Amino acid sequence: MKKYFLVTLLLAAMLLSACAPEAAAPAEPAEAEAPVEEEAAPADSGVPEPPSKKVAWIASNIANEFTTGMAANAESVGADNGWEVTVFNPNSDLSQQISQIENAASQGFAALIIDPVAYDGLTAVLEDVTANYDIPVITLHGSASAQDLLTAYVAIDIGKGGVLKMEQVAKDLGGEGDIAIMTGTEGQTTAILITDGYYEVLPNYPDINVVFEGAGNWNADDATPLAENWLSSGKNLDAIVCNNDGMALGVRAVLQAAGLTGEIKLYGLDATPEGRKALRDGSMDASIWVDSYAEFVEAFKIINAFYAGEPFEKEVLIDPVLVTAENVDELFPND
Amino acid sequence: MQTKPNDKGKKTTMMNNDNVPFYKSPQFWKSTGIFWALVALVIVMAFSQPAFLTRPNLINILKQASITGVLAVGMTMVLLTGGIDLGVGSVLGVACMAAAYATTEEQGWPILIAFLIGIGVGAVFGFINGVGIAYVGFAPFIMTMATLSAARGIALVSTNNRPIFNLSEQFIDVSNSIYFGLPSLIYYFMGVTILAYILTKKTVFGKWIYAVGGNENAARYSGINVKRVKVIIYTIMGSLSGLTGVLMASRITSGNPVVGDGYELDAIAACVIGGVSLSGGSGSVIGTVIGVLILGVISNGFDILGISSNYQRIMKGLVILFAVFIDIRSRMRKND
Repeated sequence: MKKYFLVTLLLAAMLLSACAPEAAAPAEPAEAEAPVEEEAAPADSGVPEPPSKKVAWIASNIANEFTTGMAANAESVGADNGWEVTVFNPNSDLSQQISQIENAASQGFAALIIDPVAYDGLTAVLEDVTANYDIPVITLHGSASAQDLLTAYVAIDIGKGGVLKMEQVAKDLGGEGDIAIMTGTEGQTTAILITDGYYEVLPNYPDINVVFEGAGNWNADDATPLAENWLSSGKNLDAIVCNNDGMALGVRAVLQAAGLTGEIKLYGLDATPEGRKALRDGSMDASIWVDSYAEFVEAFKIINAFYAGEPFEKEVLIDPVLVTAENVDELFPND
Repeated sequence: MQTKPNDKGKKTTMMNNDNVPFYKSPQFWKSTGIFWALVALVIVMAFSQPAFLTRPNLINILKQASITGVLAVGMTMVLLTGGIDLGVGSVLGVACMAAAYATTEEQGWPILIAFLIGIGVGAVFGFINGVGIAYVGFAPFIMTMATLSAARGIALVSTNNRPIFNLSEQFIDVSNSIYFGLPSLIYYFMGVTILAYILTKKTVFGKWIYAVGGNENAARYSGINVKRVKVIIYTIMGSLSGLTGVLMASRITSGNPVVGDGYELDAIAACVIGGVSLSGGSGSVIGTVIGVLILGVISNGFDILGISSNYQRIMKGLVILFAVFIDIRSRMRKND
């Protein structure tokens, strides 16, 4: 009997605490708005007060040089704008990202910047957060299907990156040849957008054949056996086009071991420090610079505008830049 | 199966015993069944894609199988004691970072040091696992799951998630050379397999391993130091994970902290396909080798046929179910 009573008490306590934050959140804006109304002109009466000086960067993963760079950029751009950035890493697990979004909102973060693990799947939690908290929720680098609910979307137009790269491939191959496409993890939005970019260009070059398409999962350890197997398949390959530098660098090692560097052209994306070295020494033919620093600059502009009551763009698309051995030094003079 | 009196004068039925040559024992027949399955798979792949049976492709299969293979051989011994090690992929990752750090052009330490550091790091994790499981009493699943998490965290923190590049030429040669027509990786795999075979089949310690897995209490009552056996086995597994990490660093010419994610499942799958029982006491290293080759053939075959990796996963799952099904059936037949 006592046991059941204690269990019921515990459950009741949990239910009560679950109800509490919902009561608190709507109360805050009401309190904040009151003093502002007395001093300022009627136009300022809708400006919310940030609940804290903390902003959450909820990444998709922090598993390679590019995403590590993103986290570093989030922190430094945030600091430049007077915000303290906390980085969340769900390790490409959608349900973990959902939990992290919920937690960040209820812990009083002033803004959420999210790189969705998957395009679909965040709708429920985003509806919940946008209904209960008056804070900017921005998707960065990747978008979500519930985009209309959100404050803004800032991204490099990564599909355009795929387009630029495939144009370069076509140029390097003289419009004809056999290529293999190595994508990121299957089903991930970024991988899909980049690869769609390739296929936008390919119909213009009917003499370029896609001989293989496989998933290298963004890193060298899965890229290596895949590339090895392609090379031993007996099919001709003139170029291997990878969705990121991480995989391209794994493929580079395979090509070097087989003595095929230069004979089979290699393409990456991200222009990471090691990727840029590869461009300079000729072991990679081109990459795409995805300036995540610029993405965060735009995102924080939007957050500041939100809390100043000023207008801002709901969608900011930044163009990527093709990087080759010719322009790598002028784009990255500090390497 | 033969019965013979053991040292204490009691008659026991041993799973395998020195008077009966290995090739006549039940273990071998179970393994042979898998061997013919491998042959059948190779034939199917060869017909689907002529390039499959070419020398470069077969060398690839051996190379790719070697990485999973070293892990699977260690996992066999852990499974034989009735335990499991879920953390091998993460320990591999830490060892990969350690070895890469030691062999960059700037650092330039000798390759032997890199091996010792990598294997040593793995051994430390393995030892911790062993002590936790044998002396503190954690279930192997829980203890090694904790290692899985902690080791991955350590690997990522070591360089703040960044890979290490620029490894020395000699170190890169470790996993990327050919000796007597075979890739260097296969020699590591063969060496580890031979040593493990000798340990499990030709030494007294090997008998203890099977005894602990077969019936832990009986083993303890017959005077075997069960705790020490377990600590040693987990330390060996850790060392082999470390070795795999070193080989991986050389293979991908970099230290990458996320390497090895999920490799424990491939190792366990190879063992299960090879006839190693998950409840301990039954199975052999030879069976595991065949299991590793079966997985390697599937992986490679699907890649050169251009089949998506999602189908590979489905195929792997079916193969595991089939292998376990055969195992269950042969057990039932034995008990009749």
